[in-house]
Amino acid sequence: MTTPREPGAPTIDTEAARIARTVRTEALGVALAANSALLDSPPRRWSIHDISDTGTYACGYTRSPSAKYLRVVAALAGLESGWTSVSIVLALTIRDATGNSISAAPEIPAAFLATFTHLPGAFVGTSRFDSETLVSGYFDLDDLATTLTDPAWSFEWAITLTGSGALVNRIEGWEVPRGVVDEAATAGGVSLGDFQPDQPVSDGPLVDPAARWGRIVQTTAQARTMGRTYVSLVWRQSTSPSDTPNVVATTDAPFALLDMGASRLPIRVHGRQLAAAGAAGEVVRWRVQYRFSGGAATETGQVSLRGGATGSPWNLAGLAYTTSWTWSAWQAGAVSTAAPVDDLELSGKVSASGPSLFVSSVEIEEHIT
Amino acid sequence: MPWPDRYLITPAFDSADAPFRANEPLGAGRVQQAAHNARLLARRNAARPLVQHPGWRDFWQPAIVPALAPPVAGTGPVVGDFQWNLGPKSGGVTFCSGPHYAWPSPDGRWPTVRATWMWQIDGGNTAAAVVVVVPAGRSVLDVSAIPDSTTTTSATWVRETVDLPLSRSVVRSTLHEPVPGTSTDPPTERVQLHEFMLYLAAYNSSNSNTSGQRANLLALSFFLVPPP
Repeated sequence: MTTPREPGAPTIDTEAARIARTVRTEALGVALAANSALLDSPPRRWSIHDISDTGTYACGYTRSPSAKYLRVVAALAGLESGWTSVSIVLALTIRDATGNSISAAPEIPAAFLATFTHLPGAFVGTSRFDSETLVSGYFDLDDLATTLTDPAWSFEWAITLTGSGALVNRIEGWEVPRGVVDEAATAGGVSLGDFQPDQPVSDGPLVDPAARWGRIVQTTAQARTMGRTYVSLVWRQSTSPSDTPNVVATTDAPFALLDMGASRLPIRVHGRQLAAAGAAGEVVRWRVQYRFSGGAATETGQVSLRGGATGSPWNLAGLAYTTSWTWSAWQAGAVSTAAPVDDLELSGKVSASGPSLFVSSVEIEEHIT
Repeated sequence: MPWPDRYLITPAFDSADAPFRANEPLGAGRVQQAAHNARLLARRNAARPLVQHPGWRDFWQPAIVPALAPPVAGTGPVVGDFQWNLGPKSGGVTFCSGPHYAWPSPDGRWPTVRATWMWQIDGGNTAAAVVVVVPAGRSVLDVSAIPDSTTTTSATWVRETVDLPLSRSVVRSTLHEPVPGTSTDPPTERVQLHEFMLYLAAYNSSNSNTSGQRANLLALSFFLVPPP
C-alpha cells in the first residue's frame, strides 16, 4: 500500500524527550525525519557531457535502496548552420554485470530507442544552451530489476551523430525523490497516520494500527545505506589516446587525460560522514570499464585509486587482457572524513611494454551496508 | 550533553536487542537516539554530489571582446564577458548541467552549491571563470541568475572553489509524475521538486592557440553542501 507524502525534513528537538516526561508527541517528528532521510534525496547518478563524436558511452549505476524512478534527460545542441541534414540517434542498452540486458520498449522511453531519430532545431540566442532540444524519460527501476538481476548496471549509449555540427550537450540520469510512502518495500518509508495523537504505540515494522517504532528504526537504517555516487566520469569507448584515458607505463603512472602533467589529477569529493570523523573514513567501492590495445594478449593491467583515507592505495590488480570493453570487478576503498573533503586520484600500469590500457568509465560509490 | 556528530549504530528492528521491542519501556533515551539518527541522516543525505566533468585542456579562447582587459582584482568578470556560444572542440570552455534539485532545511535555509576544479595558465596570461546558478529552464543570461567569478594567472596547478548559496529565487518548482518507459498508464506518484541549472564558462586572455599560451581547467565537480 502506498500513501502520498510531501518531501521535507521537520524541525525536531532531540532534547525534547526527557525522563519522566511523555515522549509520545515526538514520534511523528521522528517519523517525518526518517522519511526525509530515506526518500527526499536518493543520490545515485551518472552523466555524460559534450558528445561530439559518434560512439558508445557507458555509465555505471547501482540504484539506491529507496529509489523507484530514474530520470534521464538528454540535451541536443542547437545547430548553427541549418538542421535539415543533421540527425541524432540515442540508442540505449542497459546491462547488468551478469550479461542480462534491456534495449527495447516498454522499459526504454521512446526517445532512447534505436528506431527514433532526433532532428535538433536551429541555434538561437546568445548561449549554445539556449537552443537545446531536451528529450527525457523515466525508468521504473523495479521493472528493470526483474530482468537485470545483478545490481551493478551499465547504461550504454550508442550515439550516432549525422551531419556536421551534430552535438549532444549532455545526458544525465538521477534518481527521483519519492512522492509516496510504500509500506510494502523495505526501503519505502514509514506511514505517518499511525503516529497521530492518541494512537497506541507498537514495536512492529509491519502495517499495524499503531505507532510502529520498529518501522522507524528500519527506515532510518535504510537511510544510512543511501550511499552517494562520489565519482561518475565517462569517455567515449575509443582506443584513440586523445579520446579516452590511457596508460602504457609498466610502473604506476597517471592516466593520460586524468593527469596534470606528471601528476595525478585530484577529483574532489565530500565524504558523507556517518562514523566519527577521521582518516579511516567511510567505505566506498569502485570499478572501471577498460580494455587493452596492442601488445601481447598475455599481459595484464592494474588501476589504482588513491585518497586520504587509511589503506590507500587500493588496487584493481591483474586486469586480464581483453580487446572488448569490460567492467572490472568492484574494489573496496574509502573516503577520508578527517577533513570535509578528500581528493581521489586514479593511476595505472601494464605488466610489460607493448599494450595500452584504456579506461572509458569510472564509478566510485559509497558502500555502506 | 550534546549528541555526537555521527550516526549511532542501532540494533536492527527485528533483532533480539532491538530498542523498541514489545513490552519494553519506551524510554526517553531510545527516542532521543532515534530522533538524533533520523535528523542527522536527513541533514547529511540532502547534501550530495551533483555532477562532474573531466575538464577542458588547452583552452585559449578569449573573452567575448578579445581585447577585454584582465579583470581588476576583486571585481571579477561578469557573465556577459564569456563566449557562451562556443562548443566543446572550439578551444573554449562552456558547461551546462541540470536540472538538479535541492531542499530547504527545516529552518528555511537553502544549501550552497559548491564548484571546485584545478586550473593553470601559461605565459603570464589571465584565465577567468564564472559559475552561474539559475532556475531550471532559464538561460545563463537570465536576470534571476546568481553568478560568481574568479581568475588566476598561476602557471602551476591551483585549486579553485566557488560557493553559490541557493535561495527560493533561483529554484523553480517542477512537478514530476513519472510514467516510465513507453507506458501509457497514469502516474502512480507525484513529487514537486525545486530545480535549478548549473553553468560554467572560462576564457583565456591570451587569445592565442599556440604552445605556451594555453590554459587548463580540469576535474570540475559540483556539490550541494549544507547551509553555513
